[in-house]
Amino acid sequence: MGVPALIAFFVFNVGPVVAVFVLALTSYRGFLSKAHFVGGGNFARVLADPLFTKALTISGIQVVVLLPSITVLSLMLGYYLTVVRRFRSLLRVIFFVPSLTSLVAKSMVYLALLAPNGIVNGVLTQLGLGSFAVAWFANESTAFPTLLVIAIYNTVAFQAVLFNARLSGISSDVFAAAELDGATHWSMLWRIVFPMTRGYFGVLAMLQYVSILFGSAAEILLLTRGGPNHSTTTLAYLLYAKAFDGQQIGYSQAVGVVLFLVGLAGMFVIRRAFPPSY
Amino acid sequence: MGKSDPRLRLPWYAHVPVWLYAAALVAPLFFVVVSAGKNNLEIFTRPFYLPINDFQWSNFSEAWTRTQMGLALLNSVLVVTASLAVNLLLALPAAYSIARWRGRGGRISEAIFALGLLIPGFAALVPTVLMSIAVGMYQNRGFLVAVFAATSLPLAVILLAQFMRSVPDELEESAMLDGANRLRILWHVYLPVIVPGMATISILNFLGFWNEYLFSLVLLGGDPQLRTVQVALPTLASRTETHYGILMAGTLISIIPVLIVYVALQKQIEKALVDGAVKS
Repeated sequence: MGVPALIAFFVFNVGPVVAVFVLALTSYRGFLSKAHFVGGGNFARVLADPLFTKALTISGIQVVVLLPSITVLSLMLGYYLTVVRRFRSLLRVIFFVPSLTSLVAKSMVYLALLAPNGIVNGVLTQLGLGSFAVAWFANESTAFPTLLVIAIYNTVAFQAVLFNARLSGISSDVFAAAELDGATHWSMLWRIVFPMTRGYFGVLAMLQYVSILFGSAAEILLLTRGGPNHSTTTLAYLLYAKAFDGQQIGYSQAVGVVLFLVGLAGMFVIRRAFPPSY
Repeated sequence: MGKSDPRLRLPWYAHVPVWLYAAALVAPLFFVVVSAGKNNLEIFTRPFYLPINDFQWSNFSEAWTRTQMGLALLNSVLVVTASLAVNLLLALPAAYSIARWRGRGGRISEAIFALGLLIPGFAALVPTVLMSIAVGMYQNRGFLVAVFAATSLPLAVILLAQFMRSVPDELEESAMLDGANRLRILWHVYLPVIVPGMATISILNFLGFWNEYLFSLVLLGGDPQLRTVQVALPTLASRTETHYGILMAGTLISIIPVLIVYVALQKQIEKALVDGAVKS
């Protein structure tokens, strides 16, 4: 009875992923042309391309900045939601907002808020900080940091709700015992709660890592199109742009293979650092 | 959790950043609503001003006609509804066989779907477009439905199988002895148990399908006759001189269906989002 589902799963989930590895060895002149086998040629081109090196660096910075800040802030906020006494349900409702609204809707709002004469710059000017008011997405030195801040802002809320759901499962005896010992919230969080949820922390970190690595293309397409001067071209956006703007499918899928290998390697490292506790 | 002990109050410097963050999450919603009724000059000179008397309803009609929003909403509703149905039709029997098939085959099928949870959908983007061209279904809503329904199978199958395991074997056996066939067993014994599971899956899928952008964009190719709401909306921002009031009016139109569902099903949605993320 599960056969139709298995077939659908293999055709639309497994098949395309296998196809990435095959397409990476071919040369396509465009989506409507025939493919030619070129072996490792695409990889040679990719590895020699300064744009690829740049994208690799940008994706690397993305992971190094976002993964620790998102996971640690989410754990702290999740702990806050667990121990706070007032307005907990209100805060939980607010923290669900980013997971309900679409990426497109949110991006349109960021475009309006961060436009050169947008509200953010308006407020900065009113505060006498007009010199900090720049064209956030059009400026090479601010576009990528702005995207990083947006990613943290967008992700921490829901991850905190997840930690909160997990921490609610910790017996209140644990907290009571720690209180008797005169523990502060800070030591409670890092000496008791964090070790107890280490495995779960690892699971969320792993999912977060995959989503940072693979999930940036749509947002960058909507906000900066990889610019200015490729300063926001991540590996995922490079894959997208090479295929759909450049019609270089072999190159694009060679980047896809690299993404896969980087993804697997990172997941392995995270799993070793935070082994599942169950 | 220490509710009785006054020593363990959270310090003020814990509350302040949390509430600042909460305010920063709500502020954009407020900004969208007030800006949807204003022109650029007003948005930029008086961003927080709520235009009660001079609300520009024309922004909504402009956004509606410029994006052909009626068509886009219709396309979104069609694609989402069909995808929800196909996903459940495929996932229910698969989950049943995994829950009841105790042998190696059942375990392998479950492991296959569980592994599928780790495949990032984005990786499949380019090959999926090539596949749609190869089978002559590029710019075809039916193909997008197949992609949505199939790529969300892993979570649907695993979650539904967990619900189905809660049906005791004896219940099914006694129904079998009474001469009920498999289909009737599914209907009478399982349906009551799995309705909450189906609700969870449908909520997660509704949010995922309604809000999806990249696959909808590349598979339907931006054709105004076929495109979904999420693909239609950013066309308002692609001009050199963006009218932000119209853009925010369009944004508001695009999130209203989700807001309506959220207001109606708040508790279920929150539970579904947490379950879906925790179990994956």
